[in-house]
Amino acid sequence: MSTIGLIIGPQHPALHEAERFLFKVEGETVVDVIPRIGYMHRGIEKLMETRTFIEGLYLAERVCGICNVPHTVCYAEAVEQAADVEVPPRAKYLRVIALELNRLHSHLLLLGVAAELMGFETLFMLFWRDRELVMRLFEELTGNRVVSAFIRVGGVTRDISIPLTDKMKEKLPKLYKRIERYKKVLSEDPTFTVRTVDVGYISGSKLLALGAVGPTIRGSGVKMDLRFTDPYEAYDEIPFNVITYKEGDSWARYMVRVDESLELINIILYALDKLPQGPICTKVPRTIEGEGEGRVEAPRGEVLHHTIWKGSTVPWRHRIRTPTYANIPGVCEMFKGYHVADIPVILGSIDPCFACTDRTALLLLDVKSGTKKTMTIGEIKKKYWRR
Amino acid sequence: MEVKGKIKELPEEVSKFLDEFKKEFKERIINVKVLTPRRAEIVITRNSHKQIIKWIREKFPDSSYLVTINTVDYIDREEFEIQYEIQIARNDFKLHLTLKMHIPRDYPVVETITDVVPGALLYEGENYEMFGIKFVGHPALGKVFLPEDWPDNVYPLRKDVKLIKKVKKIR
Repeated sequence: MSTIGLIIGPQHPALHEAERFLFKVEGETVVDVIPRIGYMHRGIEKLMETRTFIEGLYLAERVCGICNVPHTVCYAEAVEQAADVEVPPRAKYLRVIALELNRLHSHLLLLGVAAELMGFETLFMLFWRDRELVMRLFEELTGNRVVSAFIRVGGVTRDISIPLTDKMKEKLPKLYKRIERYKKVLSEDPTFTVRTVDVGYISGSKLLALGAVGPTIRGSGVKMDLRFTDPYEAYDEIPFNVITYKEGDSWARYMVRVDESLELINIILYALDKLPQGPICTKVPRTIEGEGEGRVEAPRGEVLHHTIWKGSTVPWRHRIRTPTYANIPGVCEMFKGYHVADIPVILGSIDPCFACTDRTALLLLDVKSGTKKTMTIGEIKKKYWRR
Repeated sequence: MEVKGKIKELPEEVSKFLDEFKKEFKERIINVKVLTPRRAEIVITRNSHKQIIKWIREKFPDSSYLVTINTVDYIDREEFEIQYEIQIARNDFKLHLTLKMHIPRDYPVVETITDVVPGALLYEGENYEMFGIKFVGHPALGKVFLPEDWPDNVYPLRKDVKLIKKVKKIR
């Protein structure tokens, strides 16, 4: 049978963000995939070299909207390590609470989207209703609904109040019971299982060679979770289980997220109970000399910020490695041998975040071939804005 | 071996591994620096990275992975520093290794590791387009993030390529 090239993207209903995949198909079966990333490249790594850590923190937050807390914690950790500053224990616990609430909202968002991809819209509505509860708590904790601006280099910006602590202790166990019910639905309902069980299988050792991270690799039975393998903040004091599934298919990757949502509610409740007293922020010197590396387990996997400072107010080099970028070689392997109709389900199972992947529009560079065509916001408004 | 003052003692398995590592690659190691009980930095000689990464991957096939490849442009020293970051985690043995390798700035050519670690495909491609480091043996060095009409021989993350503040208006 002859091979046909099927282009999906950059704009396609099955993808929620702009990215292009060239699928080589034989009949209905995918035989090869060539990804082309970079549609949302923003030059953040270069821009970071011109920013102080106060400005850089807000830039790091805008790498990815959904997992903004892991990126800021990661940036702050890297700078703190370079400046040799120790964060007060209360700030560490508050960071853990913010990180876990962010993870909970991200997992519920993905599970809702996954249900919608399979045409199970009732479940989508239910998941997103419960996500709203998490968003409210998150807003009350950080002051903002999505992009939180909660983390500061040296600590956090706001303290948690006693009424909010009580509110979380009251609401989160209720959410736990609801997620338990959804877990039963997801593992038994044929609408979900028929589309996901034995779809997109890949073995753990293959994923390790391809460098996959996060729930993608834990769905294949590999116990790799940065909270466990390289504990940061207060995770070495908090007891928790690393969730792994042995199946290695799309169903397992979704179920890792459901079980993680249950586990992290326990982590939040433990952290609220053991919250130490004391200050929430320390001072960090403006000029830094040293090298630091922050690694944080984001909802999609491991985030890495590597920063090098040479005694100035701006870094010499700042490197960001995001989880979906690491998962792309893995997901391309997963598509092979499955049908075209399975593409959205398999892609959804790694929880793709392409804004995160590309991170770094057009760079305003002093290129010899002439300046690139750019438009100011006024020009765009004049041309496209219609009332 | 340098050990920072803060660390009281290394876990037994980590020190055992580092000793074995030093014994295996005696001539290829310039410096070993232990930063935390779970993190070590090793400066290695040029073009010895492939052998070392292959050895680690064969020793821990089910418990290690390549985290990332990173390049730093030291324009004042006229050299690039390539960093290979590897995470190993087997039961209680947890170690994050950073292999640092210096290569001259006017001849940035290194061997590829894609035949040992297939996950390095995108990382090597990115370092090629951003810094111009040529990975000999890489199957398809091309554009990863940058647009197709990006000019050749302009590597945006090098220090001699400057950001400009104002953009001339076209139209």
